[in-house]
Amino acid sequence: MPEFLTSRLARAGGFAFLVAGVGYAGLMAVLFSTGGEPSNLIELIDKLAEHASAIRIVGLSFLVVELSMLVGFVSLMSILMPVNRTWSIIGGILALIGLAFDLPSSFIVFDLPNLAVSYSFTTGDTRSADRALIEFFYQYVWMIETPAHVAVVSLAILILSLVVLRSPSRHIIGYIGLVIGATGLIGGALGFIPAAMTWIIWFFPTGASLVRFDPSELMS
Amino acid sequence: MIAQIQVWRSLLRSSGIGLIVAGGCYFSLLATLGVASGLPQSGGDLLHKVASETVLIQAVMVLFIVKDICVLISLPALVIVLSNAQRAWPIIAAIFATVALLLDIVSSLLVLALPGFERAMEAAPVSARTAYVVVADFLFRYIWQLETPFIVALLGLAVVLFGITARRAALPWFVSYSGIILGAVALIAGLAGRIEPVLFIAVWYIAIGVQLLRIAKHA
Repeated sequence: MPEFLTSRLARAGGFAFLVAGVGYAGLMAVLFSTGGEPSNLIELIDKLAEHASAIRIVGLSFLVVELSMLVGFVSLMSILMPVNRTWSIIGGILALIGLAFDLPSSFIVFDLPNLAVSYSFTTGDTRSADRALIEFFYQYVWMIETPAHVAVVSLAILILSLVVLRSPSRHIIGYIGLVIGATGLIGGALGFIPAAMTWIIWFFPTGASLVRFDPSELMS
Repeated sequence: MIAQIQVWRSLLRSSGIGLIVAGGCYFSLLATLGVASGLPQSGGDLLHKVASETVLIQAVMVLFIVKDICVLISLPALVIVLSNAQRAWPIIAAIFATVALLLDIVSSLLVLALPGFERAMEAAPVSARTAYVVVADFLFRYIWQLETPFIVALLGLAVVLFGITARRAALPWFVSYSGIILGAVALIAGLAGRIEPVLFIAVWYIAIGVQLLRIAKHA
């Protein structure tokens, strides 16, 4: 790839990771202000009814954050190809898989408050149907899909960080990614979604170093 | 071409192993289907199976996800090896396979959510349980009767295209013809609403996986 294109791709990826970092920081603030992750169905319904606007914003923000991560990971994968083609491609594909199956959940989260409002104002069979639907989405989004997303994307961060460690520079980012990736992988596998919040610590330095990236660094 | 293959040798080796692992997962799934009491026939039956065979269903879905990820990781190597014969078709086949496998991962995650959903139904008031069965019925119709047959057909089409290109790329006849035949069987079965024949694609995964390992070794 010509050098000027590599620099542009790196800069775009760097800004995308910075946007993802800011987005995650915002999401963390919203999550804290709304009392964290729901631990059961009743708590979820209460939160949906009480913080409907905040939850819709969370759904939309996740969409933006994940699209930014998509750009960032594609850029990082391309930049790291001269260091190790195989593992940068495997890491990149894992990130894309993790982000691809998580994107629809953002729409589900965005729409859930409507279902909770319907649940609050209806009775009988309709109310039971709303309850069953919210229960299924709770089981899918919070108990299965998001932990799987956290584990797969963290594995991608871990693999790409190992490639970074084999490059001539930026070793500190590699070590940060190694710790964050391992933490996220274990957290995700155990169903602990907030482990994804540690990604912020990796997004900012990785984004900043991609923005400042000089293609000749990898050749040295 | 040889220089290009040499550059990608490590990727071809990893992808070969990935495809053999995917084939192995499929054979494990075949064995599991022998132990399990077959596919569900309705939403109620689905919830009953989820309750009585929870660990088995979870193991099957994890195997499906591992298999899908292994194949997805191996697609770039297939495109690289086959693009010397025909540039367009391997890319089109890889795109079809990517769409099919991503949909399959989502389906597997949806099924993995069912044991928790079934436990929630047991804890729900008796009057509300019918609604849970209705949701399960929708999922049964969506996953088993619509989405998975579509995935099987799309993956079958991708394997047929890979098989045809493998023939032009002068790969061993078994790799190309097993791809064309098993892919065509899966394509027809998927269009007819059957999902079991997709498991036989394992033979092609292992054949092409071994071939990738050989190419990597001799490059």
